[in-house]
Amino acid sequence: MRILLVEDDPLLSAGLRDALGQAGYEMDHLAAAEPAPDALAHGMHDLAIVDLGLPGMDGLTLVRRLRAAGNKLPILVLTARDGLSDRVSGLNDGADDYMIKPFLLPELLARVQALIRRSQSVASSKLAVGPLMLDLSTHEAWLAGEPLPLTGREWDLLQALALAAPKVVAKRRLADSLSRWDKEVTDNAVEIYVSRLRAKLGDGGLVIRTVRGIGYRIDV
Amino acid sequence: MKETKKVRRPTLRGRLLRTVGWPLFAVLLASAFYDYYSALDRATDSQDLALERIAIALASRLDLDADDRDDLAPHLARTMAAMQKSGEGGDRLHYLVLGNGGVVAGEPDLARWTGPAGRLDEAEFADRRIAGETLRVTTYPHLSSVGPVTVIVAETTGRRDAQARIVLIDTVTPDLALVVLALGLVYLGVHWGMRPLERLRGTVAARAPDDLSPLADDGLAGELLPLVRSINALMANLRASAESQQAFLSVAAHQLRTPLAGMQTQIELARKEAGSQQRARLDALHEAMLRISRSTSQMLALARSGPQATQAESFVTVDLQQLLEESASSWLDFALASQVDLGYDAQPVLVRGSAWMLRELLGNLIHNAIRHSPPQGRVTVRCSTQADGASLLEVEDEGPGIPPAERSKVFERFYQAPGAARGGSGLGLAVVQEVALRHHATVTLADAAPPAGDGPPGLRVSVRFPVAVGAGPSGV
Repeated sequence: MRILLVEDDPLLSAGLRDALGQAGYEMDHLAAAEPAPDALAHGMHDLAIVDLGLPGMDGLTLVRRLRAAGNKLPILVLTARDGLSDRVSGLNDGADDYMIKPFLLPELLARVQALIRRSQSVASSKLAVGPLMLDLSTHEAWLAGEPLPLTGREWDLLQALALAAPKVVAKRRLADSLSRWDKEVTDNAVEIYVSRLRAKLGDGGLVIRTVRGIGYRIDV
Repeated sequence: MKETKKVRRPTLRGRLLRTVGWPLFAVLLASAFYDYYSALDRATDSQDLALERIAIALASRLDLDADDRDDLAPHLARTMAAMQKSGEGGDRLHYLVLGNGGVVAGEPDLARWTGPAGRLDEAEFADRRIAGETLRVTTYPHLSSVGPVTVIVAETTGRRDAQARIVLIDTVTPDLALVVLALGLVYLGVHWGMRPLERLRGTVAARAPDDLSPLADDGLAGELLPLVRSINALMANLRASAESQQAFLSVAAHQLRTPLAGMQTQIELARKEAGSQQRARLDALHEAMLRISRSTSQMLALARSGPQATQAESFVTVDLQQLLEESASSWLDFALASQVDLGYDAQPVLVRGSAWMLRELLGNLIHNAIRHSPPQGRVTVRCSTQADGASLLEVEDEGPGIPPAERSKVFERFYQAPGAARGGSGLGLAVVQEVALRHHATVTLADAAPPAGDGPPGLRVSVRFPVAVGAGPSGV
């Protein structure tokens, strides 16, 4: 896995290079946005981390330019402007996620992992979360290498949770993901399917955590 | 808003009405008086003329009958009786002819009205009162063939008074009607003339409080144009100052947060690599870093949500339910690390506001609640729509709560309640208050647990958003 970091602050970029390097990613670093399109042109990277407040061309312009050129690389934006409206967060301009400085390293790593996981699932139609592996085209699942037999509804639920991880998915969103099976899916029904799913997952290192009153999250 | 005593201020309309109305009223009143008295004069003149003729007739009678002195009195009496008959109305005529030797003919009572002798053959007139009756009296000195005489003729004024009454009704009634009509027209005219001002007032009043766009100046009266231009210049100044404030805060945020992020990352890496001895120091350092990061965030949020900086902010429709769902992802790990059960009860609620400000408000409430919760305590975040249409956002914990005496103080910046959890900046609730103010929302603090319970009272913070004020389009 290879990540391009575009960040002009030497202290932060050194820290991020080390931290992501220790997590097993190959790191490339640029201190300005201008050479970034060329660096990404070869398609060797799996993710770009772009700071918005760069000297010269700013990060938002870079994101827009990459998207305009048809580049589908997942982009994580770093910004110092919190409270920024979503317009400035870059999400509307093609960024896939954003983090406000300062951030905790474990959270950054989880976001990076989730972005790469999602983009790879599109390319290879395989989605891996911890010991869980989902084949999005054949709707097969494996837990720690063992085939995991799932009903259609269970599979849809697990896919929705796995795609969103590490974010919490609201029950009403899960109900939406089951709407191709039933017209009206109640929160109760979702709870029943989740409890069946939990029974099948057992203690194989994957936990579906309940967030009281709102939904679920997959924890590894 | 402070309660202000209702003071009647002088209005332009009142000023116009007074400056035009009073003089007009005075002029019309004067003209009514003039009409009345000139008509009255005419009535008096015609009576005087008639009296003078009678006096001359009597005098000339004296000349004709000079040779028949003894019959003079009965002659004159007959003449007067004829005159009386020919006169219209019920007015009575009286007469007296005074000669050298005393009364020649007529009623001696009238003698008291002989004044100093005037010029010969020139009648003098006066109003005299006798026994509650007004008489018009003419005195006519004449040198007749029987010697100098004074002819006095008097007549009651019934006809003249009746005529005066008719004149009064005929002239004053239309004059008064004219006064009323003219003042009414002035009133309507002033009202109509003030309409452009009224319209302008309506336009300004109907604007959303956060709308700083210029007022349209087309179709405005020439007098109002400078006013509207001044208002627009003021709005442009406010906009510019809000924008420069925003720009400054944006740069300040970058200058503060980027090095903080670098330091925090470096410390986290160092913690992993360090031996056990340095590890404790680095943990303390990391803890301090988190505190600095947090208070930096809060100070920036306070500045950015202040009334001046938010002038350039535009409000949109924010889905509170979705905001709560997103906050679950942000705060779950912190809750798990603090062994707190973070839960929700999120109903579909839409409010008008700024998403980042509301996220900031919610984040501060959840952070506070988790920090003050005992281990295994529950924190519950709710949103709902009230029966009266207001929206309610509540965060409730099972911590020590805030005693009623402290409740008003905890919103002050940097205030730390005695016994508050360590590591707070004293800014969290100030941010909550500031954001609530921008949204015309009210924040109340209450015990979360029923009073009879034996556990800690806990704290429930309720943010109540009134029914959308000025929910019209104010720039999306």
